Amino acid sequence: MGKQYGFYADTSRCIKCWACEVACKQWNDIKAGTVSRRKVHEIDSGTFPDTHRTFVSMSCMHCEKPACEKVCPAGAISKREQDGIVTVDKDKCIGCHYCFFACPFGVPEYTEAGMDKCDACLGNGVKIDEGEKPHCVATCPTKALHFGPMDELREMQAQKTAKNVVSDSTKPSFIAS
Amino acid sequence: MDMVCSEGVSLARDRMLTYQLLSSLLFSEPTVEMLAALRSSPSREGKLGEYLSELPEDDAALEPARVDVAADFAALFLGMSANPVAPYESVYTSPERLLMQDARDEVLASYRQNGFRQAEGLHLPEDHAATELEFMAKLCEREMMGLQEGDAMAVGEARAAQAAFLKDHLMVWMPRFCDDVQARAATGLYAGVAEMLAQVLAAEAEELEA
Amino acid sequence: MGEERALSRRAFIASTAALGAAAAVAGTAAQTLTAYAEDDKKMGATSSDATEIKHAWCQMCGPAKTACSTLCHIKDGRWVHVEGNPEAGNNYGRGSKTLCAKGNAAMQVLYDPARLTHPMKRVGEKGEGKFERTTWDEAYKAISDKLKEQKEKYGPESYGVLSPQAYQVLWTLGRRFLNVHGSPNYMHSAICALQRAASKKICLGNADCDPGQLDKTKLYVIWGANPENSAINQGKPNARLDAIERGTKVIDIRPMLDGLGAHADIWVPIRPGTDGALALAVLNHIITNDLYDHDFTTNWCNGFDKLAEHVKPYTSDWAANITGLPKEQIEEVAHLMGTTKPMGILYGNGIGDQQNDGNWTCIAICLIEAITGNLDIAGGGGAKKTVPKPMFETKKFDILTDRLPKSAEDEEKGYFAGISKLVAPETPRWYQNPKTWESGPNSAYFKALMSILTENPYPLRAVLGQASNPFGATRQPKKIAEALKKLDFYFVHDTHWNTSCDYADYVLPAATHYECSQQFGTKNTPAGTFIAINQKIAEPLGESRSDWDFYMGLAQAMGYGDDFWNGDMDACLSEQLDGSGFTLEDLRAANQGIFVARTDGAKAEEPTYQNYEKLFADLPNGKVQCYNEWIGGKPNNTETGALGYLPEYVGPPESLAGTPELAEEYPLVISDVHAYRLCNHSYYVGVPYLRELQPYPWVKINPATAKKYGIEDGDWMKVESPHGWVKLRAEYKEGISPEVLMTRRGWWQECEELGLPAYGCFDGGSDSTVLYDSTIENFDPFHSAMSKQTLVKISKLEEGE
Repeated sequence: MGKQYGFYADTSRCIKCWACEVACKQWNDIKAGTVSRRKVHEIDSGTFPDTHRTFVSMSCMHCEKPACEKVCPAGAISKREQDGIVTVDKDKCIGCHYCFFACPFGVPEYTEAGMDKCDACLGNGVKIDEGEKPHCVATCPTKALHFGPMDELREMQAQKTAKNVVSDSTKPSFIAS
Repeated sequence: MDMVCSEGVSLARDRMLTYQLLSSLLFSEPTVEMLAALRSSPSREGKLGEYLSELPEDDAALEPARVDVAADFAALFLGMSANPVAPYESVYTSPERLLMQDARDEVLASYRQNGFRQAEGLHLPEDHAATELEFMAKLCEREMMGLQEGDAMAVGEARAAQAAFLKDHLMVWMPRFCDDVQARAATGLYAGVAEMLAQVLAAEAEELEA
Repeated sequence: MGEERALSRRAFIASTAALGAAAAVAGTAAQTLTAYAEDDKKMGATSSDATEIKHAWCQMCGPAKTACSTLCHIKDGRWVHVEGNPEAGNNYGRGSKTLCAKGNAAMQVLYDPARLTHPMKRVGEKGEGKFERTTWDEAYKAISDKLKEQKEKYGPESYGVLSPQAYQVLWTLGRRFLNVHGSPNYMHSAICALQRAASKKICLGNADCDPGQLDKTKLYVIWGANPENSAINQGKPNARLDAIERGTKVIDIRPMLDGLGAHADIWVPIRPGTDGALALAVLNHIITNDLYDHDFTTNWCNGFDKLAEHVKPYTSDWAANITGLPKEQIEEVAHLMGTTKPMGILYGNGIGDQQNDGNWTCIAICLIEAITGNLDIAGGGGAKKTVPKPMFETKKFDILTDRLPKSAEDEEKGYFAGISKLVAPETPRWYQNPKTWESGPNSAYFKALMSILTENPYPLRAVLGQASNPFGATRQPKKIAEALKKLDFYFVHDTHWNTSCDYADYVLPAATHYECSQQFGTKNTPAGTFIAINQKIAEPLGESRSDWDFYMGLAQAMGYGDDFWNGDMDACLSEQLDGSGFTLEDLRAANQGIFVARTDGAKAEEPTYQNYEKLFADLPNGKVQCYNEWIGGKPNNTETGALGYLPEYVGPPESLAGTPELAEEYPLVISDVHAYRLCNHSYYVGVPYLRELQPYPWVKINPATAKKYGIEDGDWMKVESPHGWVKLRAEYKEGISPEVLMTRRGWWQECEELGLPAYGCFDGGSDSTVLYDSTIENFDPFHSAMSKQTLVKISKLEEGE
C-alpha cells in the first residue's frame, strides 16, 4: 500500500467553532438534520470552578484494519491502495448496519442512499494525493485540524503533548494532541 | 366520432380552465372584478364555494373582502408573516429545503422542451406553483387544439407531457403544499383554493392514468 | 365503479372549469410563461455542468461587511459551495481558505424560502400584520411625501434611522442621507463597540490596551470578550493560540468557560455585571502593593494620587462579596497583572457596552494597563508593527458632514452642527464632535424610541428599520411595541420578515449582498494589497432591491438626487475608485479579486514605542486621566446631573450583592451572549446548517443548580426576573457558576426544514430581552449602555405554561 493518510486533531487549538462540521456538510451536499460525517466532540472533567473542556473534531478513522470493510456482506466498503482512505459504494450498500455494529467508533450513519461517512472529500473532488486538503481541514480557522500521511502528522504531533484520544485493534489513522 | 371528439375537447378545455384558475389564484391577489366574477359562477363546491357564498352580493361592498384576501396572500405567499408557505417545488423537494434547487432546473428543462420560458421581467424561481400550473394549462390547451384539428400525434404528446409533469412534479410536492396552505390560511378563499388544488390533483392522477 | 368515478370526476372538473371560465372573463389569467422562439428551443439540461467561481464578501457577520473574502462555487447557475479566498489574506494571511461555521452556511441565506419578494403596504391596524402588495413607486412616493410633510411640520430631526451592528450602508449612504435631510438622529444601538471606544478615548486618548504584537506579550488578559463568537475568522483566535504555544499566559475573565477560555491558564468565573468591582480591586491591589510603574504615573498620569486615595476602600474582600470570586483569586489575578510585563488586556462587549456602569468599568481596566506601564510598549497595549502603505488608494466616501444644519442653539452652546437636535444623545451633547464620533452625531436606540412615548424632548415621527429588528436589538419588546404603535410612520427594508414588520407602514424587500455588485473592500498586509467587489451571484429575487439601491431610490424620491448621483450607485462607486488604478469593470470581472503584490520591498516594522505625547495629545493636560477631567463635573447624557471624576462601581439594577432582599426571591444571575458563532445577533437563526447546532433557545446551567430544582439536562425551564419571564431549554454546563445562567437573545426565526418553530419575543416567549431592566435613569450616564444582567428565579416548566 502507499502511505496511509489520516487526520490529526490538535485539541490545544480547537475552540469548538463548528466550522469543520458545516464545511463538511456544504461541500458534500448533506441535508441539514440528517447525518454528520464530522462532529466536534467535547470531553469534560472536574466540577466548577476546576473544570476543563477539551474539544476534538472527529470523523471516520480510516483505520489500517477497518472492521467495517471486514464485515460488509455486500462488498460495498473498500480501502484504497494509494492512500488508505476507506470508502463506501452506496450503490452496493444494502443498509444492513453490520458496519455500524463492527465499528469501534460508531462512525457509520445511514441515509436513503446507503451508509454515509467521511471519504476525505474524495467524493467532492479534492485531490488528496496531490496535497489538497479535505474541506474541514482547509476551513479550520485556528489550524486545529490536519490531514496527510500519518508519518508527517506524527512529526507535527511530536511538537506537542500527544493525547491518546482513541485507539483500537482496527488501528485508527487518527491522532490527537 | 364527433361526439367523442367534442367530449374530449370539452374535457381538455375544462381542465385547461381549471389549471388557469388555480394558477392565477396562486400567482396574484384577486381584484374586485375577479371576486365578483367568481361569485357570479354557480359553482359552490367545498370551502371555496362556502367562501364565495358568504361574499356580499353588492360589488361595491367587495373591497373589504379584497383587502382581507390580499393580506392573506401576503402572509401566505409573500413572506409577510412568521410562518409563510413557500410556493416553490424546490423548497418542498430539495435536501436543503431551499429555493433554486434541482426541481427548478428540471421544470425549466420541461418548459423549454415544450416550447415555453418564463415571462420577461418575472424574477422568481420557475418552480413557482403558479408557473407549474400554468404550464399544465398550456399543455391541456395543446391537447384541446390537437383534438379540434384531429392531430392525434399532438394530442398524444400533450397528454404524455401532462402525465409526466403531474407524476414527476405536481404530485411530488403539491399535496403537502396544499396541507400547509389550508393549515395557515386566514381566509376561506385560500383554504378553498388549497382544498380544490388537492382534489384536482387527485382527479388528474386518475384521469392521466386512464 | 370506474365509470362512476369517471363521471364524478368529470362533473367535478366541469364545476372547477366554470369558476375558471368566470375568472377568465375578469381577465386576470396568470402570465408566468411565454412561448420560446423557434430558434431558442433547447433540449435537455439548463446549462453546462461546468462550475463557475465568483467572488463575494461574506455577509454572515452582518450585511455589508468586508471582513472575509470568499469564493463562491456556482453550478448550473446555482450557488452550491463556498470557501475562504486564499488570494485575499483572510485570518492568518494569504493562502488561508478558512471560514467560520456561519461563512460555510452562507448560500442558505440566498435561497431562504421565506424571503420577502415584493413591496408591502399595511392595510390593517398596527400590530395586526395585515399587508397588501404595492409597488416601489407607490411606496417611495408615500414615504417621501410623509418625510417631506414631517420635515416641514416638525423639522428634519423628526426622522431617525435604526442602526444595526456595524453596517457600512448606514455609515456611508445612510449618514449622507441624514445629513442632507438635516437629521442627526442616527440611532446607534448603545450596546456595542462605540461605548467602549468612548470610554477608552476619555481615559487613554489614542492608546490601546489590546496588544498589537501578541507574540511579545507575556500576560494576556481577556476580560468580557469573546472573539470565538464575534470574529472567529478575523485573526484574533488564531493569533492567541499561536501566542499560547509560544508561552504567553492567558487569564480569561468571563462568566462562562467558552471555546477560547478553555485554553486559558486561569479562568475567572466572575458574576455578570460586577467587572467594575474587580477592576477597582485590581487597582487597589496594584497601588497598595506598590506594583505600579512610578515613572509612568509621575510623568503621564493626571491625578494619580487622587486615584490612589479613591481606590483605598476597594479591597479584595469588598470585591469578593460582589463578584462571587474567592478573594485569593482576585489577589492572584491582580498580582499577576501588576507584576507581569508586557501585559495586554482585551476587554469586550459584555462589560463595556452592556453594563450600566460600563464606562467606569472600562476606564478602570484602562487604568490598570496604564499605571502598570504597559501602554505602547513591545507586547503591551497597542504598539502594532507599522504596516507598509497600501499599493493603491481608494477614496473615502464623503458623508457631507457640513450639510447638517447648525442651529442657533448649537451656536449658542458651542455644539457641533445638529447636536442640540439629537432626540436622545448617546454620549453627552458637549462631548460629541468630529474627534470623538464614529461618523456623526448619535442618539441611543432605546432612548430614542422611548421619546415617541414620552415626547421628551420631542417625539420622533418617522423611523427607518433597515437590517435591524427592534424587537431583537434592544430591551423590553413590550415597550418597543408601544412605541412603534404610537409612532407616526415606520418603514422597514429587510430580506426576511421580522417581528417589527407587523408595526410598519411599509415593508420593502431587500436583496442580499450576493444579489448585487455594489460593495468593494480592500485588505492591506505586508505581502501586498487586495481589492475585490461582490460579484452578482443571482438576480435580486422578485422585486427586492439592495440596501444601496434602497437609499438611492429614497434620495431620488426626496428630491436629493443631486447629492446622490441621481440614483446611480455605479457612479458613486466609480468615484471611490478614482485614482486607484482600478475601474468598476476591472473589479466586477475579477472572480477572485485582485491582489497586488508588494514590490517596494517595504516590510512591517517595529514601531517606535512610548509615543505618549502623541497618544495622549487629546487628553486634558496631555495625560492619562486617572482623575478624569474630560468628563468630570460636566453634564451627563440626559442632562440630569454631572459626571464624576473617578471610577465608581454601580452594579446592575438587580444583583446578588446590591439588592440582597430581591435576591431572596430571585437567587440566580442571568445574562446573555452578545455575539454567537452560529448566528448574527437575532438573525440567521433559521439557517438550517446553523439552527441544527442550536435547535432550541438554550440556557447554560450548572448541573448542581439544575438538580436542586429537579431540572434535567434538556428540560424546559421557566426563567423569571422582576421584569418578565421566558421559557428556555436547560443545557448542563460545568463551566459556569452555580449562581449564574447564560443564554442568547433572539429566537424569532423558525426553521421549517428541521421542524423547529420560532419563539416569541414577548413575555412567555424565549427572548431574554424581556428580563432586563429598561429604566432610562439606570443607563450609563456617559454612554447610555444598558444593563444586560438581572436576577431570576427558575422552575421546571409545567404543562400549559
